[in-house]
Amino acid sequence: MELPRLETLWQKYRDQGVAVVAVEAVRDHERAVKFIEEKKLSFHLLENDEANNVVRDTYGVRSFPTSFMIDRDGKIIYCHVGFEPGDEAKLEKEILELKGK
Amino acid sequence: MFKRLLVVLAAGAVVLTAPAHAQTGKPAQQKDSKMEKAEEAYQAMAEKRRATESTAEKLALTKRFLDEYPETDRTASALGAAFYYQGEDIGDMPGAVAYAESVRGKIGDPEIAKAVDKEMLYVYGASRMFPKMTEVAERLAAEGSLDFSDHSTIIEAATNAGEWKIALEYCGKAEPLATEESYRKQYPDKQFKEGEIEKAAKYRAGMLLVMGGWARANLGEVDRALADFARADKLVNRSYFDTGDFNLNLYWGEALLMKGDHRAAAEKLAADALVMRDEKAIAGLKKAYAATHDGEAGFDAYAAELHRSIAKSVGDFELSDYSGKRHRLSDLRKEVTLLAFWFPT
Repeated sequence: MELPRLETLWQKYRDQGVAVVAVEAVRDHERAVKFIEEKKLSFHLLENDEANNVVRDTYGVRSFPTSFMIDRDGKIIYCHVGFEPGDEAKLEKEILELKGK
Repeated sequence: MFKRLLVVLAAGAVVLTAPAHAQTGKPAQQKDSKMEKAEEAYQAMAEKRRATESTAEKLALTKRFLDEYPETDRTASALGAAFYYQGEDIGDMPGAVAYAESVRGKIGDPEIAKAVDKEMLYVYGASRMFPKMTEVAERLAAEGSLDFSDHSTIIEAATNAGEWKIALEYCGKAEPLATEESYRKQYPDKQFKEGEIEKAAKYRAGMLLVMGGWARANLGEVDRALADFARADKLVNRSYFDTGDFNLNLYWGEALLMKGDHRAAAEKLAADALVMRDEKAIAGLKKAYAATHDGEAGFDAYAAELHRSIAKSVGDFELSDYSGKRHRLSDLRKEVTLLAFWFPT
């Protein structure tokens, strides 16, 4: 799973104007809480709301994980589907490019 | 690019709206003690297999299991693994094929034989062994067991390998299975949700038009491909960035390039190239730009401007964290925000 690797990214850039927000696609509260504690995740973790399904209805995300990179104006600049070893480097490159703008 | 689709739609990752495919495994209550013993032996073998780095050792362990337990619920997956070790990893494709055929030849149980054929359909396709793959497909079709997901397996493998005639042929063969009636017949005991059958049939028909259209474009039937894509446009799911399932926009853009309609091609390719950062789409967009601007000079500025114009706003939402506290995305956002959607695994 990519979340522990997002934690590494977040620790590196948290003081440089970077936010990391993860939304759990399908609500499985206990499993998620256990996972978050085990992996010591400290960025923002939110639970999707089945009644008001942001993930599915607003963003049409149907495969997981999917990540959006959002700029200061709230525009989604980059969408990354899946997460393979080495993908955190791609996300870091996007962060650096957006920070420079 | 297609590899990504495979990853997302077929292997591992979770797809919430794809129609459920038929399960080939037997119900648990049918398992007798012999099957339970075989399952234990399989688990023990898999454990040893994970513990070793040696492919030759992994292969030997798998073959030993298949020798001892030649007909179980695990035959198909064990044989598929043996084929990969011997054919792909060790590089002995003829040996892998001969072994797969000898194991398959000894199977008497029709259900297990069917499961093995379905597995081999996939592994032959992934290894680009198309004559073997179509041989197995024809055997399954003759029994009436070649279902829609088997057709997609063939179409995906053929598309990955650029075997356009095979891809187009199986798009045609799958067409009768892309109707509401056929979907209902595939799951006779299922209680369908409102609109489910209609959605599934649309999904199937859309996929066949996209994949068949792309095969046609590569076979030189560009006009027909463009007509298929326009029909598929009304059927396939759209992402938030409007890119379309099964790479619709990417293929559509490529077909428009073949047609020489560079402006329309750039429009279709923009989101895949700039938001999804797909390399083929970027190359296509560059080609479209070069054809309309006397070469590639100035492409980066053009791409940046186009990117700004198509980038969608994230909007706002309010959700709870794990302690129940509510947060608005707009309050959490900073100069740069990484918003990840994940699934507990």
